[in-house]
Amino acid sequence: MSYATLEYPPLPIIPPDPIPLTQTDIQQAIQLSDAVLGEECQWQTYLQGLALMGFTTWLRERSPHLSVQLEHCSLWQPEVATVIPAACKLIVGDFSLCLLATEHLWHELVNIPRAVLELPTFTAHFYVVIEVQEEEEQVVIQGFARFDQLDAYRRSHTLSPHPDWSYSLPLHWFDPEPNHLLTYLQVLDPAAIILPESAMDTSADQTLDHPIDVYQLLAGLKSSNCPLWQQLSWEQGQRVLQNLELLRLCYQWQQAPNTEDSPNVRLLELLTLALQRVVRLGRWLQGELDDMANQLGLFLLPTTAMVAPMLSLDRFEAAIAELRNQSMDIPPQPTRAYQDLDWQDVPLRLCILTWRVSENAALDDQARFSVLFILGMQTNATLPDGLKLRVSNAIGVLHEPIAEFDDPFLFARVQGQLGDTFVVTICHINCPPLTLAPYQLTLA
Amino acid sequence: MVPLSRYWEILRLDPAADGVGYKRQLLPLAMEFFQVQGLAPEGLKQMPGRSSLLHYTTQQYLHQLFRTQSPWNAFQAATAGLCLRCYVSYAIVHACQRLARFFTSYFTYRDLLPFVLDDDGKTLIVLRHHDQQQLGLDADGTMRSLPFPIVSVEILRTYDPNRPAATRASLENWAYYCVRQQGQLKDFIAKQGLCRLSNWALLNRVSHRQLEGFSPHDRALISAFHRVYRRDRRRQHQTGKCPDPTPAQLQEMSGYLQQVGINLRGAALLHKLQTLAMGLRQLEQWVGGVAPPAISIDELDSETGQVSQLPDPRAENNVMAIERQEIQDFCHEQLVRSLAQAITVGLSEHVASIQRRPRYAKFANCILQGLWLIYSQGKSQTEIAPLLGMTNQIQVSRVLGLTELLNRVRRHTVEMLFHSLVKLVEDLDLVQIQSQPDYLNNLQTAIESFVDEEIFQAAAAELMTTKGRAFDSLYAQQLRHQIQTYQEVNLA
Repeated sequence: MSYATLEYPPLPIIPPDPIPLTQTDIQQAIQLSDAVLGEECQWQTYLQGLALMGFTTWLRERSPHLSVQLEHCSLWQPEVATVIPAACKLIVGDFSLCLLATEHLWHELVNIPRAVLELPTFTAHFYVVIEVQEEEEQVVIQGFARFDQLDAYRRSHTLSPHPDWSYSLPLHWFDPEPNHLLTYLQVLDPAAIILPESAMDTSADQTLDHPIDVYQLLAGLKSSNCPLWQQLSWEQGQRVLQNLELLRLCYQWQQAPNTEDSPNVRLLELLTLALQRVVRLGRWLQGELDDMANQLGLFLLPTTAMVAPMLSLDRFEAAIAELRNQSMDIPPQPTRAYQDLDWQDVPLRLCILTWRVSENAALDDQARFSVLFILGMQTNATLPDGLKLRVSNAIGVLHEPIAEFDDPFLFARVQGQLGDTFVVTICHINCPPLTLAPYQLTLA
Repeated sequence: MVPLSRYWEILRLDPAADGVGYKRQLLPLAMEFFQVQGLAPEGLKQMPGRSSLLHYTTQQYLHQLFRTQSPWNAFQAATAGLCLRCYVSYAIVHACQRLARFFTSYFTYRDLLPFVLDDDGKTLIVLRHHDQQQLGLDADGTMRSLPFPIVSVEILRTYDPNRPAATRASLENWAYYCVRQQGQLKDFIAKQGLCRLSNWALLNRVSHRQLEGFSPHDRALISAFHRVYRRDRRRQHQTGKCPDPTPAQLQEMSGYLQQVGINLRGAALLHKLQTLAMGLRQLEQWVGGVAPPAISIDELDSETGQVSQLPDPRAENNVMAIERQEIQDFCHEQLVRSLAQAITVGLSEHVASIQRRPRYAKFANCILQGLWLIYSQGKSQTEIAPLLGMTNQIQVSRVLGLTELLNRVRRHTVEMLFHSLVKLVEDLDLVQIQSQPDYLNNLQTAIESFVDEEIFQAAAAELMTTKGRAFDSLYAQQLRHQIQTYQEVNLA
């Protein structure tokens, strides 16, 4: 039966009460809005703050025994509030609520960020539409909807999103009777509304067709006129939005006043992991490089005796032999690739070796691999003192050896399973860091 | 499900003070016509899932008859039109309720009804002159011009059910669109609703999405205004009415405008901003003057062109373990007791809530007296302000919070009935209530529609009336009774 959408829902016989705002509410909303970046965003956050204060007042009055936790709410995380214009993660009992503040609904359209509907990190059991009448110092609850309802409507109506990563939903998708929300909160088992599982999708790499210049992106963010949605596709954006550490670093970067500063290395690493196409290390085991590796100028060294004519490769081979002597379990003929990097006029060369740790294991999810990064020079010279080879993954820094006393090489060895991704950054105290495209342990 | 009786029962304007503003009236002519035409199909019952589609086909058929202009079937056309006029009267009332919902501080839907609910269904009307003119049709077949066009007929005259599905609005949406465009109603909203807001609050309200609808020049003006005025409003912790922009603010805006090649400063800039804000006092500026969203956007399946068949959370589903009738019998027993309890709880909550509001706390102990003066002596809020030591009607309205109190009591009544129902009726499976949101919602809605019919519709209608109120509703009686009890306790 389709009256759910064909017919506007019956309106409550008593119109919704405006909820008065106190001076304290207004002060608190101002404080919250001061923490976010950009004038438009500050005004929106101010309205959301007012909506949140009014809504919680109403909730506490109408259902004093419900526990209301404000501390997880996104408005208290300016890095989230800056990129997602909604107050999500308001915890009531065991439910998560998302408040959508608006100054008027005369067009009967509710603006809702895609993130709060589509990304598990931000979805909520209930979405509450709140009209903020700023000049009248009051708010009005104009409707609410359950996640499962909005999700079903959205899927069956092929909505097209706006370029700023939001949808306009018809107001009549929302139940105009706020008392129904109270009943749900009091009676319903939260498990009755199934929210999508939180899982970072690492296979989304295929969708990142347009390579992103991370430095350009960061420069754009610094001038607040260029928000993420203007610089990234939604597929790219959702990978950034779901990484709270990355959001925090982006926020700090935008907030820092000095434009000369070079960005935090961790910020570069996480952006690279989120947005750059990966080099697939798995294919090397079969002796081939993928397109991406070819683009980056990686070349494989034949495992047979054909010695490359370049002098420095001998030095790398010698270094590998030396490591083997130091009882590193490098197999006799590991797959290895070289990548030349002209960094700050220093001709660097990175050698990447990959091998399966246990040759007997079937090539499945259980198989473990070793990846050894060796950084040296394209010439016979030694590495500049203080040069750092930093290898990280999404969780944190794994190794960062530093060159000193004329070291010819730096080594970093990591282990992982299929799907694991590593990112390499060359750092030096005097220069901006160079983050390379991430390497992923994958099969062809 | 929308009942078929909407094709033969018209909603007529009813200015009676104690009503909801309209009255339902059965039109035998329309009913007979509907049935003779075989339009009351059993099909609706057999195919509940397709009812919206059947309503659409019914409307399409009636509309086609209505627009047939040959002289020998004028009566048929007029009667088909009458059925649709009945149907549209519900859409008009609903449209007024939809609109008024956004202006609750200023007026109610009852204030809007006189502008658009002008069809009493007493005159047969046909369209002539290429659908451009409404003519009254007398019993002897003569046609005469009408003193003014009837709104519901105008809605039908301009409605086109045969447009391609992708651009077709439902009759309800079309009626809403037409009501919003009605001249006097628009003026009323502008004067009573939008004019209450300051120029600067209106400009503040323009969202970045709406900005796209302005010319580049005006967009730049509003953006510059936002940049300076919104920022300062927060920074300077301003509240209440927005003051005029200061010379310093105007100067800063001029600076931003200069960067985009617009030379406007001082009084000229202020004047231009005021002109823009004046334009924003018209509702169209906010809702767009364009046609209503086509069905396809939200109701038609994009591939099949059919009305999409979503599960309806409001549908009565088979999981309802007990019959509506049983709920009603049970609720009847409990009703008065629940209402009395709900009033006790509601009153004490309301007093406590006023005590928490710094501005009004000092008036908390005159709430009972105020309610007594209104509900027992029929005094107006303006009249009682001096009696309670207040200066104006707004204070009285905030402190007494008549609709707020009513809302609280309604909520508690529903809640109490709900809980006693769950406890007492074994058939109600608690697990099901907790684990099936739609089931829970249906149960709650069933209780609500029962208590609304028994108590709160009348109570809400009393409040909406401005003149000559007589508080006879069950709610008013119980409220008086409670206040009396309190006062006796206090006196003793």
